[in-house]
Amino acid sequence: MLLQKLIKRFKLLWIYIITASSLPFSYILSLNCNFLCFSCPLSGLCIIFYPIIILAIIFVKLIRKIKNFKI
Amino acid sequence: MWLKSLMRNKYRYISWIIGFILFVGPFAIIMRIYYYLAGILREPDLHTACFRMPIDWIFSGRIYYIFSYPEMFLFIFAVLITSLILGPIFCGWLCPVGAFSEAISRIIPLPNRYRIQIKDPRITRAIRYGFLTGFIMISILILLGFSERFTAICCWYCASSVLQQITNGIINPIELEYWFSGSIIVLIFWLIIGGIFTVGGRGWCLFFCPLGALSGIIHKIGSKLGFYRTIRIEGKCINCGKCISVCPMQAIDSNFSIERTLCINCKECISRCPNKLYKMIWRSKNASSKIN
Repeated sequence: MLLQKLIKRFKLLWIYIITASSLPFSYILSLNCNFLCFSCPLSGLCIIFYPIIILAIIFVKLIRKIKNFKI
Repeated sequence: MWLKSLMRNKYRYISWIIGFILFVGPFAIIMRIYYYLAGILREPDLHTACFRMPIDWIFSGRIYYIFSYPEMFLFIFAVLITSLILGPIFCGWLCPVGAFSEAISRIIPLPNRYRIQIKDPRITRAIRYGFLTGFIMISILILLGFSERFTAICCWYCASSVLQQITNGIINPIELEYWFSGSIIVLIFWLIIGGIFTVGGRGWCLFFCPLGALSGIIHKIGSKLGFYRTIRIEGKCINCGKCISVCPMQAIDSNFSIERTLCINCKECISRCPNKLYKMIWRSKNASSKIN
């Protein structure tokens, strides 16, 4: 019971850390071009694409592992 | 069935329309009144009372913008104070961005089994506050001088701007030139994935809105202090699960306990519960023993 609780807490912490790191990570990736977004063909796509990918990965994990995801 | 679902808690439609008229251009009545009183010659729209930039400015050490854009800080301050006392009623009843996606979710008769639903609100909370932490971390990176050009990350995923441009586009189709790839991704995630394909239609509010996340924290503090909040009282529950399926924020878990940081006091659970087990209370001493 305690172990299950700990695993659950760890999963929640893992989700929190992954999502918290996604925006700064995409920010650092985008620093190369110094945010010339409107003159770039991607035009800001790179900044928001990574967090959305992370969110999709979490959803897929929820389907497979936690089994409390309904689709 | 679909029509019944569409007409539930119908007073919220009125409040959504009021919210649209108050905040979205060409009406933007709140900002119009402010500009008139302050003598500012500027055409107001949803973006002139940005929901998110002041949060970024506070954390990135640009609080001095309060002198340039006091209306934005006043607006956010008013939303947070309201959240403390009355709960996040701005999110639930007035915010045009959340209202638009929730309305689309209601209108499209897609069964809930084809929609995303995270049954454990603690997971939703972890994702929501993870993104808020990321948002604040970027503000701190800006404070540390990582980028001179960059203003605020929220401008790169602005559903408010997208909504304003849709409205402008309806009035004047030339405004549709605004679209770029980032805004199209936002549109897809806000209205299609977060709206149509999420139970409750508030996927965007759940994961990407920093003001909503801050309001949730403030509401949690407010509820601890005994301010206005939704509770579930003890009674004969028939386990119909309607409260869980109608909650637009997926804030009620399988044990019927309400996750306070997600609840927006929208009263959907109150209106839908057949045994009236949910109610709103204000500093009630007896309520603490009844809270489930």
